[in-house]
Amino acid sequence: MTDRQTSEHHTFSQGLWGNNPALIQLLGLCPLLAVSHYAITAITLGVISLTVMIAANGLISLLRPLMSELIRLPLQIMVIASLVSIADLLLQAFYFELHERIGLFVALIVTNCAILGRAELMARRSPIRHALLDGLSMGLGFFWVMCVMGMLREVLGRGTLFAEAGRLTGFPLPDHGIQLLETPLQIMVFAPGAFFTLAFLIAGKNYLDQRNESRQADRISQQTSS
Amino acid sequence: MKPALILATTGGLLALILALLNHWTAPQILERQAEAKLAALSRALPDPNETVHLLPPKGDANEIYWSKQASEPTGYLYSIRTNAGYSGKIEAWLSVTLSGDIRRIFTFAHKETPGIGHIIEPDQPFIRQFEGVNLLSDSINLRSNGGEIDAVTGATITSRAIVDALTRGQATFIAASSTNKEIEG
Repeated sequence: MTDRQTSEHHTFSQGLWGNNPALIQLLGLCPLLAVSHYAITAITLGVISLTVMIAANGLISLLRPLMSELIRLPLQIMVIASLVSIADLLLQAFYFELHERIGLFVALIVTNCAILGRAELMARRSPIRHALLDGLSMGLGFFWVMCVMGMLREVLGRGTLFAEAGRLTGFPLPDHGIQLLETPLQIMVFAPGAFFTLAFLIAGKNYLDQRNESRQADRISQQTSS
Repeated sequence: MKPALILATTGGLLALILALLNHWTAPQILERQAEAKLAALSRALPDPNETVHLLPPKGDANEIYWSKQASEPTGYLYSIRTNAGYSGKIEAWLSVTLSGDIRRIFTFAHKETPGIGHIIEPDQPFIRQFEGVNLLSDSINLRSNGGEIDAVTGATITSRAIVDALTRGQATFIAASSTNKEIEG
């Protein structure tokens, strides 16, 4: 691999795992905790956040020549807010019922610190290719955590998966979703369930990281001793 | 370039894009909103197969709707309200036949005492005794006031409030049937 490829590979894996916005940076938790009670709402908000993040990173990277210290924050917020409004209008026009469910949180993406954070840390200093890649990686990192939370909470809390997804999106899915559990734990779809699930995800990620680290350490000590 | 100028230009451009998009999506969004409202309203009707349609507005009266089954009008649907509840305002959807017989009262907002004031919620015996009563020709009144309606012991104020809301709803019915005559004839 060339240096450039290695560095791009590194950038990409940062968002998905190493520096995941939801699990490590703990950014954007408000939408993450609030709409992850159903798989379909979580996935929708994940997709919108992902799209906004890529587009915002790209646009802000393009606006670099105009960005002076004085106006960089208003400019970034303006770009992000416009993109979110576009997403909000389109969702409302084409998926009205879905918008009724998560509408408030779509508007709140403007204040999602994960997005402003990427704009401020990365996009305003990087060439467009790198900025887009960073947006994709961070967006996907947020998106997969969103999906896992949504699906886990719906299965544990309601016993179903993708309930109402068919009606809301037009995909051929049964209206009551796929029944997986007979006796769900209702608390999982309420607020405490959101915190439990996130805590277990973070713990799981830390456990895997530590296991990997100790394995690597073992390997190195074996190599040196032999 | 001056920062202020950059900020203003970018803001202007973005606002223009948003305005265009809004212009393009607004009709669709309004249509969806109207559909959603009518779908929600049809829950207030006694028969789930009926649909709800807005009557042309007239004067300052509340919005009045048609209820229809297979494009045949079955009656009117409109909201009634009173401030005479035990805890203030009570609001309900009233569906009546074309001749003014009450079909269903669907209470959608009230703050009556839980466990006592619930008599006014849909499908409770108290609220169902109004079904079939004619808004204009029958006297809608509690027995204690010489009428035919049985009040619920312990919830006299709530019972009286519903009678009050219905009495106020008579005027809306008269407006509705006059609009209807204009349409038909």
